Amino acid sequence: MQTQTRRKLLPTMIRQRELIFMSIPIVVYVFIFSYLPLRGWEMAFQHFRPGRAEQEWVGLQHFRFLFTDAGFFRIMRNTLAMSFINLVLGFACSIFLALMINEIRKKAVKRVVQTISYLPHFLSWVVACSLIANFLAGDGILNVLMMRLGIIDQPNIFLANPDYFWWIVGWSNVWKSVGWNTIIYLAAITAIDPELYESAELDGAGRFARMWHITLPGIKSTILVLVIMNIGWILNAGFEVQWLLHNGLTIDVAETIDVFVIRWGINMRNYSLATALGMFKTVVSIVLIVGANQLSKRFAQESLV
Amino acid sequence: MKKVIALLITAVMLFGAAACETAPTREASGDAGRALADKHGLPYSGMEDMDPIEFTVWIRNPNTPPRADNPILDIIEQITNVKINFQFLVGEFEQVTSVMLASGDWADAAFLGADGDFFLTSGQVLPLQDLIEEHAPNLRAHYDPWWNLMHYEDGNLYIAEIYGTQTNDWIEMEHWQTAFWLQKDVVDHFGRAPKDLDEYFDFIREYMALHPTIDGVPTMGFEILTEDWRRFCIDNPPMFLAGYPNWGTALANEETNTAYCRWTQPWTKDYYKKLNEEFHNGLINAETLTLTYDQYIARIASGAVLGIFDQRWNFNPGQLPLIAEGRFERTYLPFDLTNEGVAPRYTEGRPFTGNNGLVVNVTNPDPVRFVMYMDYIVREEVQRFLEWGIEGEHWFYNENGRMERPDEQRDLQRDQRWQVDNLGYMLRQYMPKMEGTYSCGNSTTANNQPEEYFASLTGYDRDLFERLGIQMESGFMSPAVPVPVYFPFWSMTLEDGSPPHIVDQRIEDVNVRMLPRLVVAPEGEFDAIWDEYQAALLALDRDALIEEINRQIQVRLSAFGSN
Amino acid sequence: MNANENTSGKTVSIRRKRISTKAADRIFVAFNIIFMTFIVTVMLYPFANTLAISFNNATDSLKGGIYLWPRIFTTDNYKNIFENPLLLIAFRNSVLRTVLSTIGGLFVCSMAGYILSRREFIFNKALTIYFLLTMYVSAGLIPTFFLYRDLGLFNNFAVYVVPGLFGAFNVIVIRTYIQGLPDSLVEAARIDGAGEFRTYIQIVLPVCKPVLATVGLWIAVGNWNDWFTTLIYASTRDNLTTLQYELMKVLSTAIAQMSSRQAAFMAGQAAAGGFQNITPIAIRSTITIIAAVPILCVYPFLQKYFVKGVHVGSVKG
Repeated sequence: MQTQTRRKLLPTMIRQRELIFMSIPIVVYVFIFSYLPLRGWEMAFQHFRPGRAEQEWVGLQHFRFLFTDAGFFRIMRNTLAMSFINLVLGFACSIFLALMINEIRKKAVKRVVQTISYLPHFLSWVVACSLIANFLAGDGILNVLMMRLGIIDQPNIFLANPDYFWWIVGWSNVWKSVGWNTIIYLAAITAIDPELYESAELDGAGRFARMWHITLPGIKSTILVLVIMNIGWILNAGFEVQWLLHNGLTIDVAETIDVFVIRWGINMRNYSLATALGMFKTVVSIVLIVGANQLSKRFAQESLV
Repeated sequence: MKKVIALLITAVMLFGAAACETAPTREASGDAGRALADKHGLPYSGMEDMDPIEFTVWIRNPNTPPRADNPILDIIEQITNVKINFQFLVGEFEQVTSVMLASGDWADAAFLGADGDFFLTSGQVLPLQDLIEEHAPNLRAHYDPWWNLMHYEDGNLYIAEIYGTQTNDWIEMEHWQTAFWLQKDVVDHFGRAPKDLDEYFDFIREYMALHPTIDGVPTMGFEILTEDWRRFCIDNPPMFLAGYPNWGTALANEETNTAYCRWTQPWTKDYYKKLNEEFHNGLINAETLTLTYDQYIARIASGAVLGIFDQRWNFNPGQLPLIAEGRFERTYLPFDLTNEGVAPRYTEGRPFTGNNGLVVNVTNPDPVRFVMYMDYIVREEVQRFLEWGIEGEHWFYNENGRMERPDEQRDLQRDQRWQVDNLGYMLRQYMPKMEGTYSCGNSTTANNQPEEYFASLTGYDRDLFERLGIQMESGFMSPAVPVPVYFPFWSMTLEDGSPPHIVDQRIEDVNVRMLPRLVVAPEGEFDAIWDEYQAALLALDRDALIEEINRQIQVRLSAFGSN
Repeated sequence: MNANENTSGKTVSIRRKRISTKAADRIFVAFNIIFMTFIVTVMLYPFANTLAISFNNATDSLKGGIYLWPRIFTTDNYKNIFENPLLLIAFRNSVLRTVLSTIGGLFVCSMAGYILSRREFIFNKALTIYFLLTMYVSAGLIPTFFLYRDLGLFNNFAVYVVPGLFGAFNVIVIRTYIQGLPDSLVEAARIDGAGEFRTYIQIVLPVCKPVLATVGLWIAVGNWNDWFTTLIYASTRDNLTTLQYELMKVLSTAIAQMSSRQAAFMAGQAAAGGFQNITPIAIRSTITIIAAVPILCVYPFLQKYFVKGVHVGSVKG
């Protein structure tokens, strides 16, 4: 059995030698820049202090600190909740926007709209959050509007209310990145065979029907691949927007793993703890993408690997 | 696509032509240097005939270097043949310093500040005690009162302190530190200072009733900033009300020289209870607890905020637009309110912290020269030259022998950038310095010279101060009371990730989420939330922190005692 | 007769359907116009606001309340930044690194993408996993720093280009695009006797323009906006500085000078009633505009690859 595989392997390799030659430089490159520095993971088991030749080994101390922290459960909950909201809102909105932009017939308008739609991507979170805070303020546009419409009779201090926080973060992310995220879908749409649209039109399919039955399935594999890859990042709920919008009244729902890393790792120069947390995130990521990949294989007959 | 790339490459090549030119190096010319020193009444440096040398000095704060043609710095450079290139922090201090330390590849010297103590044990920092004793008599004399305090636990002196080495009297015309601030128009309305916290809020309440809006903006009674590290606006008032200076997370019993936790004190509860009452009275809006720093500044700048508890340097940007618009009555006066029977200690003078100074890298090419240079800079004539400039041009002696600036210099020097570009500010700021007064009694800080301060007062302020019976902005503040040698605790270094450090961080975490909740506690629930707060504090091993502080108190005391 | 009836019946139904389709299309178009107006407003406003603040008096901006038009017009904010003598070098370096990284990155990523798209390749699965994992592992700052230094990248322009050529995300996106192309494309090349490398260069790359434009934009924007690399690996060499790093320096200085712990030390030195012509809010807006405009100018050039698309059908025929 083994010999058989080996016998098969060698001729295949010879046949595919050109692909192998093309791969080698990339494999080496990736090894050097992505895998070689992972030697640094040993820091997770040390009490690492920069500038010292000898480091003190502390075993699993940092992992223990992490998992026994009273706030760890809360932080995980916040991270997962905000990531999930971001994932669902983010994908739904950017796919929808891409489909709608694609339906604009006038080329010039299409280009202008697309360009404008991703402008917020170029704002730093600091600038973006100051706009968001003003928008949500007691005398901000949202409150004024809601009061005019009679929905509320006195200003609602949105940022002081923990119930709104996750949604504020979710929609802020959508606003900032939805346009930028459409670019890939618009690129994917170009690969759809135009004949499909022509024949659908002959069959009398309306624009909505064509969008639904041709465009959307046409970018399905792109969507799936992106979703799976993003699921792997579910513990990366970010920190900037949470950090800039949070306050003492909402901090219980605002702290994410990344905030935790910055506060207990980077700011205290505890690189060992930061590394331990990085390893934890890697493990979770791998479990999640393997799971997502299997699900996708079973239910969508498509997969990443 | 090809066209785009071609275009870009052309552009790149064009820019490439305009790239770097190297600065011409100066040659040492001893006589020229001595002539310059004579001309400006400066002492000789003893380095006039030495080869020119450049040192890079890394600074822990972001800043912009002075213009290359700065005349004052040029003269100093010719006399000493030393050129200092400052490199300033960009990005996060913790990350940058970690990489610096890990690589060992950093500047010839660095100002790391209180958070940089972890460099000292790395073997990358040069002990300075012998160098200073041998080559720097002026610097040695300058440091004399603190000399023993400056030694690290291993017996070496690593840090050439640049702040807190107060020389003679300290003059403070403007109060830049902590206070309860009240809009000038409110004070003017009542014609006197509030006598305590209750009256402070009464003033605000009455004024607010009379003026529900100010220039069209709804009046805001009392604003509290809670953003990130600027949270001292909510954290610190109880400590000052109880008559303590700005210690930090723990307070000192100065009789027994021991520390204790300040968050569990009854007067801490009293203050937040008061805030809670004023919240229900409508003087405090919950929204103030959500403000970012920018929003807070914008509110101050609207002129509609009556009262704040803050340090002046923190909220001062908000006053700038008010001053620019001439709305002087909407700027603030400081008050050092205290609880009954307690003397205020809001004014600090210049505490010596022992870890705010320059460290010298072991790779420094010529440490002797560097120490000699610091020795020259700290001399009184040089200090005056850096701060005040050239006599007859930037300043003159008036008939009373006091230093003054001519009017056109006063106008020019309103612009801080002009001062940095044309005077020796940058060098004075980041090198060992005199703070207080010169031997002739003039202020070491030109802006704190009383003559300069009074000349800069606006007509409104002059009239207001007269009506209130004060001389200057800090007129209602009590003078500084001496602090113990181990003051303050906030500049003590706790080893990264050690149990006391972690407890310190956890106490902060509890405060971040509990203090705002106390302020906005629904009626009748304040006590329950206070109990929850206290329980959260009690769950922490606060003794670990207190013990470490007590240990450091003893270290400082024994070092100072042996002085 | 029967057949006739049937045909006419069918025509009628198709016509009826067409009419209703047209009505539905009109609703759809109307909805889209409203939706796009909304999007354009929401997305354009922040930028317009930033632009307005960048042209407003710095001290006055502290008051807030500026919307679409400056209250006190000034160009001082731009002058302040353009005074920096390093700006020209910084701009040159930023352009250079962006161009080189984009060209190099596209080459590496598209080749890797092509390799992964060959389903028959025996190492396909292993390589995919090998590449994919790089997205989820990170060594952290200090080990990375040591690696780069050992490779001689410290204080070397190459640090801007060499380490960042490979991006697993980009590779997967390109692979997915290539796999979406009809198989006939590559088969046709095979019949012509083209090897893998030639197929990749001559057949696959040209039809990948839309996805290459996308990935190229990602790489370009990432490189253009990066200031951290300069901070850690090249901050002591003025001739290696980049635009974003210089802008970052201005911003952090403004923040520090405005009000910080440093200001506490300088307290006595701040001029009484001095006027500040640099404020963080003004600087932040101005540098946002300065940094964004050049890169925004690139996109319209790329856009034509989206609209034209690639009519893969032609290969089939």
